[in-house]
Amino acid sequence: MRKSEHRCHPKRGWWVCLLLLLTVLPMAIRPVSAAVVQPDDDFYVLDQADVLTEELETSIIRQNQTLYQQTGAQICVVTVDFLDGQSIDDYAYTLFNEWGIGSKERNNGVLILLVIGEEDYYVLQGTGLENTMKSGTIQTILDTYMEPAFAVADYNEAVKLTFEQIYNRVESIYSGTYEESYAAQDEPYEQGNRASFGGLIALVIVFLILFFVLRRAGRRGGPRGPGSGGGYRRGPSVIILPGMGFGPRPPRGPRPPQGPRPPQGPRPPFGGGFGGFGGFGGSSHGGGFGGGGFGGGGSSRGGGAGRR
Amino acid sequence: MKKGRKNRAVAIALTVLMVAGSIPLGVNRTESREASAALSVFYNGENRDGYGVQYDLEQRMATAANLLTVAGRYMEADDPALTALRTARQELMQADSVAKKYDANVQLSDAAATVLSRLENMELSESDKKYPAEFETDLAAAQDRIARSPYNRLAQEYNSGLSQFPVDLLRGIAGVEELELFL
Repeated sequence: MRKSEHRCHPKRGWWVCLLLLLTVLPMAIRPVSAAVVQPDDDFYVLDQADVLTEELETSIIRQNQTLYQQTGAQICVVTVDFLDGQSIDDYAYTLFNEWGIGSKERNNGVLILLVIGEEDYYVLQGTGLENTMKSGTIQTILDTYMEPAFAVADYNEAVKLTFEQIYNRVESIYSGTYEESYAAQDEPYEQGNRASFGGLIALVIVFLILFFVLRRAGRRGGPRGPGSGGGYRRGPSVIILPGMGFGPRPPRGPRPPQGPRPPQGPRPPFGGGFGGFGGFGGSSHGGGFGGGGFGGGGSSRGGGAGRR
Repeated sequence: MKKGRKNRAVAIALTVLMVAGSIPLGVNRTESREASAALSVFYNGENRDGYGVQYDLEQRMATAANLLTVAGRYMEADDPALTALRTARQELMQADSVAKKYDANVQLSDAAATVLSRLENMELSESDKKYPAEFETDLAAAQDRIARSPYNRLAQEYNSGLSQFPVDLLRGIAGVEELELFL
């Protein structure tokens, strides 16, 4: 038997790396939707129509950082020129849930969307704010603060005033100064920070596993031929990825039949799992993985307010 | 010999009857299971979090009640527009099936729109001025959430299952009805 039969080509190691990359990359990249704009690094402001001043953008980002730390709430401002045939409420709904605005636990995000070319605007709140900041209340804010400035094309002022009002409203909900019959949640928001840390740990674990799998694959390599300059590396026989587990899951027994449950009131905090890390484990509607955004994984059921 | 033949005929007839009877029964059971999955989302929400269609219908009823209160300050109690809204709200509250809730909800929309348009042309007090727009938005927002509810997808899947062979032939005997879509 010739030695060369035992030996693999050195390039085989690269193939293993490429295969692993192709497996892992789709998990690490936020699924890109052609339907709505994607957030950039600033996340809180995306001024595609270029109608906001840098000063206002900075102010919105700074205020949001404080708000998110304290409450998990996020108020995103997005301006675009056109929606290419989509209705503004559909667009806002998709964008909100893809970005995962607000914390996953409280669903307390708000989206302020301006469509300059179509002379329209829309504000959509997360599910957790449906009762404390009703769409009717948002409508009054829009009629009073957004519309007068928007109508004369002073978009910067329109956003500034509207953002201020919504910011104050959200802040008052959590500080206990909210006027209506709502039990204020005055405890500081911590879940998002913990969740960020959890997401980070999960990422580190994934990369550690990959690192060791690759290293082991290298060690398992066959005998190095003289002068082969590196020998071959055999690919790993098993790749463990998050969610795959270590073996087949035993089949679940059938659920006992349940009678219909009477309707119950909403529960403000939602689910558990990771949140606050680029939508890692975010809402069922969206909230991808990383992608430069900092969406907390919040979701909305639609039903905002807009221009009348 | 004759008796044996007779017994055989009875046995065959009974078997045929049982088979014929079990098919619609099976269809009924299968379809009922799927329908109850959709109805669970209708009443309890997709994640059993309470945010089902029923929740949003209750929000609309609450908004209608507020609208009745404000409109009552400017319109006669027996005004036909107010009476229609009151009746529609009452019917929605009492509706005990999805189909009835659907009909009552449509009536509520129409009646509320009439009252709102009447209020628009009236001189309202300073404190009441904002309400018509707020109520209109709240009603529309709840309707939008209803239209986006996952219940509609499940109901649509269920309904399209009913139109497939052989269910489409047997659903009449099996007593299976389509689910109303809240779009």
